Amino acid sequence: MTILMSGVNMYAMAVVMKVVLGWNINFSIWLSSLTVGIYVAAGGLFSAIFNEVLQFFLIWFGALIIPILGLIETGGWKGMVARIQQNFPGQDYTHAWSTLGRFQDNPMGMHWTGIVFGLGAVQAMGYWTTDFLVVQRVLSAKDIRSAKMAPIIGSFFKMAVPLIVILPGLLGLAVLPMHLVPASSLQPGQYSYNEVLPLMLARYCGPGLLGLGITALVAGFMAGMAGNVSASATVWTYDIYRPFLRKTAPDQHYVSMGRWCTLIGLFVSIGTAYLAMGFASIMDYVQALFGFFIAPLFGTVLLGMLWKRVSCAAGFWGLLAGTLSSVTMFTLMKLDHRWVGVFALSPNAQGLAQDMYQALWSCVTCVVVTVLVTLVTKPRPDEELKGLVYALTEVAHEEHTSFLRRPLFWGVAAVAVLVVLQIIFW
Amino acid sequence: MTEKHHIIQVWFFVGVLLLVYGFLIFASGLAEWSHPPNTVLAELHAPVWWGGLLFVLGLIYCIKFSPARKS
Repeated sequence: MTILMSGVNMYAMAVVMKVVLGWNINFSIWLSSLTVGIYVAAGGLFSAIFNEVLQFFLIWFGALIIPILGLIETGGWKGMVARIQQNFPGQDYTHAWSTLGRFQDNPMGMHWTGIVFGLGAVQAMGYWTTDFLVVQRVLSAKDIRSAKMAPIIGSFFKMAVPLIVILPGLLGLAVLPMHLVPASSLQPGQYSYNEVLPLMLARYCGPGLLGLGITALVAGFMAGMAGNVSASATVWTYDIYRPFLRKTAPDQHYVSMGRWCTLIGLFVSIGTAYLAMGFASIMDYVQALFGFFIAPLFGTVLLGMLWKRVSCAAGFWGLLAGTLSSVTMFTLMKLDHRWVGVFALSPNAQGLAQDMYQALWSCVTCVVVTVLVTLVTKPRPDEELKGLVYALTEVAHEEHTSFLRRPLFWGVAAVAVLVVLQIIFW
Repeated sequence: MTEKHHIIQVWFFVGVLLLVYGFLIFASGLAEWSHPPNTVLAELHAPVWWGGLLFVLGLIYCIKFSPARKS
């Protein structure tokens, strides 16, 4: 999963270099992977996280200028909406919930059940709890309060990400003279959805700002690539190689193993970067990947953590069934459109909507199979489950701290902001 | 523990980064002031004020998290 995601970042970065700099896409992919390979192999997780902090600031300051200038050009939010309605009559791109009552009422062919259960309950919760890139950052926290605060702080920025991702896309609909097309049906002289951010950069930015903007995008993709590759190296070295293949070796050996794994991971990522080209947009590909891996894994982790009766065999077969069902649904929907009406509940469901339902059903499949296999297999004694199951684990408590420093306070604040945003963009 | 490790905070490097980028963008904005590039809204001279903003923020971070400053 992390290797496939790393490939996504590589491809996205190559697209930026192709659109803005006119570089060859293959050369761009290799150059970016080489750069990331050097600093991750040399510095490991520390360098990846250190660079992520620096890149975080570059991303925001490099990308934020686009919506600012875009809104000035369109005369503010209302002006932008008016232009979109003029360019795409009858389509609503600026409301989150009001058009989700029927599949055919919004451009994504989405229904609210897909958003609430597929995206909200499975994809989003699964991402925050089982995506190793996220989990690894929390595990590297210095104490329990920092570990709790990391995703909460992240949630505030996550809620602000539409400012630099969705808003430039909307502004692109309003001001760009060309109509964008899916990457999978791109013809010479046309531009794909993936290229909207670089196109907006080139529209507003002269040499200086363009440099910052490109750096911002490249930094973002490099951060993603480095994080995913270092995560895969850690999983292999610490969770597979050390406990199962070579239990006693000097630390230097494991460090070397991690570095080799990083390099191999990068080479595999290069291959997966080309896979991303076959999808209508990068987002379609990412959500499909989440449906394959994150959604069923979320079911396994949730049951395994909260129900001590779950056996190893149940976890394995549940996860396998969930993943296979996800791949099967995806393949059937791509091969024959009639299956879209079955799995995604409507033939009007578009790519992302299909991904949401695919994730939901794969998670449900995983849970059902896990429960069924659990009931016919022997449970493990409690002594073996200490530290693994929530009910049998002593959870560390935070040190007493002031009200404003408590994760609970900021968690409630994040929920409040989320609710307000839903109301504003209803 | 007798040995004391002195680690430069990442925020200092963030400051240096913003400072350098801010200066370069600000300077490029001034250089193209009389001959704006062929971009939309070039007359707003965005590199000047955006570069200036980055420079000021970078300066604040550099001073606040300077390794020379005792915590």
